Amino acid sequence: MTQPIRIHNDPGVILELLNLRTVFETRGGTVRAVNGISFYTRNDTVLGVVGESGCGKTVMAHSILRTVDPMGGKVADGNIFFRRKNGEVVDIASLPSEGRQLRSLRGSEISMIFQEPMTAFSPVYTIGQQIMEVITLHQKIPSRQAKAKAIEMLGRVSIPKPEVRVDAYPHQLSGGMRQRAMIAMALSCQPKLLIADEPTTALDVTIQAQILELMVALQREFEMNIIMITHDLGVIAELATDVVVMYLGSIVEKAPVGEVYSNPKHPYTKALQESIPRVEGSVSKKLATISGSVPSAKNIPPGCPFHPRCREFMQGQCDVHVPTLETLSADHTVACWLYGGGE
Amino acid sequence: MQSAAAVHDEQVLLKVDDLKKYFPIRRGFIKRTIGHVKAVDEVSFSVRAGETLGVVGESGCGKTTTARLIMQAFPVTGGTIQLRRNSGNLEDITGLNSRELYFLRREIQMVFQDPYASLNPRMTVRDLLTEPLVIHRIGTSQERERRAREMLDLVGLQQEYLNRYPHAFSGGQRQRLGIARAIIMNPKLVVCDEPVSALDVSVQAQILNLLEDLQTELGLTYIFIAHDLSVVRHVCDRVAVMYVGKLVEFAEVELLFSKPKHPYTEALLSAVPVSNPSLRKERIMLGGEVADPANPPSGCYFHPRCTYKKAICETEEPEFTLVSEDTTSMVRCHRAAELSLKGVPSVRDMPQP
Repeated sequence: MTQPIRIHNDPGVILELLNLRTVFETRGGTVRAVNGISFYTRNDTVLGVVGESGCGKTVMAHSILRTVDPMGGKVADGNIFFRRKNGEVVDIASLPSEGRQLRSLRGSEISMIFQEPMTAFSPVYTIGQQIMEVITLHQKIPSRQAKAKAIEMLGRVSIPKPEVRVDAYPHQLSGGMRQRAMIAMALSCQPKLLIADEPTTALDVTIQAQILELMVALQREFEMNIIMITHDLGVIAELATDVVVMYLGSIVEKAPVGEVYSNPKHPYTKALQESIPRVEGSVSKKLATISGSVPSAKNIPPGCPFHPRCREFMQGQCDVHVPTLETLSADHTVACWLYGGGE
Repeated sequence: MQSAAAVHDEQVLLKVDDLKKYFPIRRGFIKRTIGHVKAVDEVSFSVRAGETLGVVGESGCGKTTTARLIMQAFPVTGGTIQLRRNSGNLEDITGLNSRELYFLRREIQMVFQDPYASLNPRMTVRDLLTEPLVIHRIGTSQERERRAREMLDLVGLQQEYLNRYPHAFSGGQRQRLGIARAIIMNPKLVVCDEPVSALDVSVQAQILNLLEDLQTELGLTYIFIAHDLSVVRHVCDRVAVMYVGKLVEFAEVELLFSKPKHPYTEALLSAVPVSNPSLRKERIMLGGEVADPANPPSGCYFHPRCTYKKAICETEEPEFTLVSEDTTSMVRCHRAAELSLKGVPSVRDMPQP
């Protein structure tokens, strides 16, 4: 399965994963959390990654930063090509773990924001100190200047009275303010790629709307690429330009956001769409459900991983052969035997 | 207030009047009370038997405190909570002593948000499900076991699971156990505090359908606390919207979503991400944050964030009143009658596929 490597030919592509596999060796067996995924993303996109818990979306994010290593995971196979600020393309998957090169990427060229802003900050340092740590780690500037920069960043994410809040401890801020501070910290070194792992899941809707709005504005301002990981199809519809749908460590469908909602192809994508209660339109009394629940990543079903829950399951085909991503139109790819996927 | 009309309504299962819960703020060496957090203030509503009442609002608005007051998990500061007891009469359940509370628990049960935290990891499913029966000395151990098996059937789990521990179950299955544990006592009223917010979408749909099936089968009444408005729209019959401890709107679900009467409801609806990219819209962006219930603004609590405010909103607090004579919607807003607010997009606004 050789795919063309786009990142070498197209300067707009800043990240390209090729057949990435991330595994966790446990006493109960090997957990194949990310099971061979390939995609690329450009500097002007907000890529939504959607899937249920256990689909590997968070592990995929941690693989890109190589923070799976301390979690006990291992990038077992594949490439993670990333275009650095100086234009050089590096394969993050092949860098030595905890090496100098990796550390120079994290926080400075690739940043991540997390779901729970309370646990992502240390409770014993002020948010100013924590933002300054990121800045002084990557830039040789005196701490006075770093503090000025931290205050500036807090102002950029619309925190009122940033010069006061810079000395606040995380517990003194509300959830929304903490998430803003987290974004300020992530953006303090002007990264090219921001990975947001469920950044608004813990927030109220009105605050979520503010944060999403802020992220869209910052994406334009900083000209960075955002990978937005979420389980909420609504959030994706509001802000993503492209969508990747994941299931059990594999990508089942990738398409521009309009296509995913108006013309979904994979049975899993369709079922997900039907199972969410909607705030708009008419209300049907019974929600469509997907039978069963997501199987454990320790024993991924043979063939198509979704086949035991699929409504359009074909005996002898789906449970035996693994479908590969098949291109339907320019940007729309799907891994399903209904569309003739596979060699 | 309005609910006076509903007193004689035989349908009413629970009636809350002027409910208040103030938490004291204590400071200093002798812990002098220097103020109060008005977590729940002047809340009045009624719940009809067999309906699902949604309570929505942002965190800190007092929805969970309201739920706990109804459960009588702590005493009220003021107001009454009347429940239609087994005798058929509405009885005030505030200020019951511990023995009376023990009997109350058979009639009101609760389903919690986090199915990982609400089940004791050291107890088997059998112990978890029969524990309420043991506490209330109901049945012999064989009868309790039979009842536990019935419950597993009812919530769609296999009977073989009786000997397992909670860690062996997925989030959705645990929430099924939480529901089984709540309904094993055959309660009239089940207070569901964010029952699906910790679950995945495909599992969320299963649990919502289960709750609906159980309601039809067992004639349950739900108070459904949620922050997810699309879930509320799907399961609730009537909805109460809370802001900083007070009710700001109370209406039939379709009315609330299509024609909200309070600017806060409109803004909440506008903030919900619509899962249809062709409907990306101009939002009403609420500036600022929810007011501090320990130090609320003057006048209408919502005025600092409200786009429709007038001079009167800053000084005078609006009453919680009927929107007009011909509806049952209640709203707390000076300008409710004159404003025409926007609800969620209806089917007509949708592009045809």
